[in-house]
Amino acid sequence: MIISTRDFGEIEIPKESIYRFSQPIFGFEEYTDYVVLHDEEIGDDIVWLQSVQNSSLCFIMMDPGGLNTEFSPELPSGSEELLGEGVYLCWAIAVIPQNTKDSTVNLKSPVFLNPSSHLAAQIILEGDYPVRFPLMDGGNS
Amino acid sequence: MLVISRKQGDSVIIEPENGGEPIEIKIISIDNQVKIGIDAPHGCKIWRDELYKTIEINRSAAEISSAEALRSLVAKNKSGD
Repeated sequence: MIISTRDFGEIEIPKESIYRFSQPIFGFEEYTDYVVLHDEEIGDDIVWLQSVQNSSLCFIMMDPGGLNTEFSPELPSGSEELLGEGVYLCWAIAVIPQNTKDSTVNLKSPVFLNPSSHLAAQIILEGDYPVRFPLMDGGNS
Repeated sequence: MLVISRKQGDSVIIEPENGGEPIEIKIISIDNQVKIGIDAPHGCKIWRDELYKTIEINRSAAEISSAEALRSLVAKNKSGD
């Protein structure tokens, strides 16, 4: 199927690649279906979460494993009911303003994707993780 | 931040400056977790802070984060390595 995207124009995606959020991106409850898009120039540790239902809605997400911090989240009970069985991919939603020094990622509420069930959920973790983890340590730019 | 010590069963009352109805927060029990009760005027929204902040951040992420800013961030990080 062909979808319109915010940053990549019109693209063709296989229907099976769509993730359905069983627990929504909080604040965007009306949109449940997204695709994950890559940009080869940017690399594998950053993806776009593009809404299928609203072309202007997309989130840029980063692999928390690539960040300069210890991050091994434990999923709260009930997560398997949201995501189905399998191995989950974990992505952190990034806020990247024009002044990129102020960029942050939300490690408290990552997005989990299950590539086998194609279910997804934004899950608020119980641990003491920052909602605004700075991507740059300020002052070194 | 104002910090007040309270015992189980005690309350604090928050009175808005503009003469709105006061909000009462009561410490119901203290174990491993603190259980609190909140009496607030009708229409007053009460959030768990992590959910409130997540919504706030999701909205700014959708609104602010651009591919252009991301490219410039990635370029800066590469040059900093």
